[in-house]
Amino acid sequence: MKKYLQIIKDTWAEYMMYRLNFVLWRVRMVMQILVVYFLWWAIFSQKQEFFGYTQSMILTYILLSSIVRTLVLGTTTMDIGDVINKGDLSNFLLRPFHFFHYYIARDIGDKLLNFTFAVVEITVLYFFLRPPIFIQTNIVTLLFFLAAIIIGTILYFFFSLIFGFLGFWTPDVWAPRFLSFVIMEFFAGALFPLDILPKPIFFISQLLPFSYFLYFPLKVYLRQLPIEMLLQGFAISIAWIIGLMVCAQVLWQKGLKVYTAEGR
Amino acid sequence: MQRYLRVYRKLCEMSLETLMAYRANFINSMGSSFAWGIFSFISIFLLTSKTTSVYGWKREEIILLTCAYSIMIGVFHTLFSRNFERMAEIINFAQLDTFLVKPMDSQFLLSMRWVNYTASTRVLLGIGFLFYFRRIIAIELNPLAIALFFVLLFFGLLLLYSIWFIVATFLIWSPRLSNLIELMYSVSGMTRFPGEMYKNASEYLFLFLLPITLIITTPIKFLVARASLFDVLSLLFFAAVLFVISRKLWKFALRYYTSASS
Repeated sequence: MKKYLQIIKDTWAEYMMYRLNFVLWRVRMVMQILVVYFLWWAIFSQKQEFFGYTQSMILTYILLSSIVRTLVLGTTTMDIGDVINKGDLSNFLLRPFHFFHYYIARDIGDKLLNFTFAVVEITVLYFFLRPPIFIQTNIVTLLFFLAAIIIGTILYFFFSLIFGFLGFWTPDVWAPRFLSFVIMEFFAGALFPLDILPKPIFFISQLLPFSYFLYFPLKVYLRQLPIEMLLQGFAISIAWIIGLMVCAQVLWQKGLKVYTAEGR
Repeated sequence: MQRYLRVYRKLCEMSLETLMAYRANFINSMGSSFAWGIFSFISIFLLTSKTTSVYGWKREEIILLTCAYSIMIGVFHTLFSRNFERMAEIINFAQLDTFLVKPMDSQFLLSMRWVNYTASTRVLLGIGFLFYFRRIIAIELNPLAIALFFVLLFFGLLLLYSIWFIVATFLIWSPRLSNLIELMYSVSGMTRFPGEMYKNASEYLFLFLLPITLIITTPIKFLVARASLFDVLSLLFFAAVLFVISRKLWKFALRYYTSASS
């Protein structure tokens, strides 16, 4: 356990080494939230309700999504393709811990730091903008919300890991990852709740893993899912976790067999 | 001038050859660029589907704005953004030396060295949607209006380039600030919405973002005959002034380039 705590501390130290760079990253995040926030503010300037959402619900969705995304989508696993291609994976294979565990510890460090900053940013924005947000007080709903975030986090970890493992077979890891990122951003519901999409597209989005990264936890928080949809969401997302976990393990084992430590 | 055109043609050819060497990467990048563009359009259609107008902008005009944004940002990413992405690395590893010793303008070489052909998908997508929606948008277009629209788009592009270059110049003083360029992608994204959206949110924010909000909204306002002389002159003024500033600042910054590690 001690070694993993050290990895978390190292991750923080790494980020703090380039403090201004990290701050700029956070500024970028705040700008993205503000643009989406102002967009929705503009839409609600003339309407009381939009696709069944009130202004309060939507603004809560947007602001909370920026916090949830630091926990679910914050990851350091995007380096893995480069680690493999540059032969740096050899260093990890010699160390007394599993490669997966190393990245889990690093991700925890990344998520905690970004989460702390996001909470501070949203608090500051709240005091400046005074949006009519919805505060969930039901403990059971909050526990379900927490569970949905944990599931989304695990799901995204394996999803991202799989894209990193492409590095075993190709040096072009960036492009497929970017393509997946583009699709994910849309189907995760970062810009708008997915249930405003046309019904067939919304149905498909429910079967994909992406909607469990942001949309599902946020809908759980807003308590807008009937119990059967809630259970269905948890069932599908857990099935995806099992599928992606097995896929990541298989790719890891097969990848190690073809790994040539190129560049070493 | 001719020498620069000849060199640029050669640089374009070299970028194309590099692209062809990594075909899978090329196809994936085209796919990403295409998907990104399509999702932007879907988002704007959905978000405006229940609205007839927002802050004086009709739904059709907002769609037109999205088309123009797609064209403009596509051209910008094709010609410039990859060069800015590499600037941090070039300065940090003192590769800038190789640019400075060449008998050409360093700003030209640094900001136009690589061409990202895959981003041109966004241009094609923008033009495609523009043609597809021309009936819905229902705007009277004459050749002169179209020609002037493209002239204003050019100045918008110049303004966007100048803002990026001014910001990127600060990498000379702090080469490790690679997120500065990432930040600029978000800044560019802000141009896709009408300036009035920011104005209604905060007057201070609007004033701060004024040059950015002019980039695409002014050509579109011109096209739908809503642009005032002030809008047009503001765009021309900011484009010219910021371009001159970008040149002066670059020359000034080069005095502080240490060429460390070369």
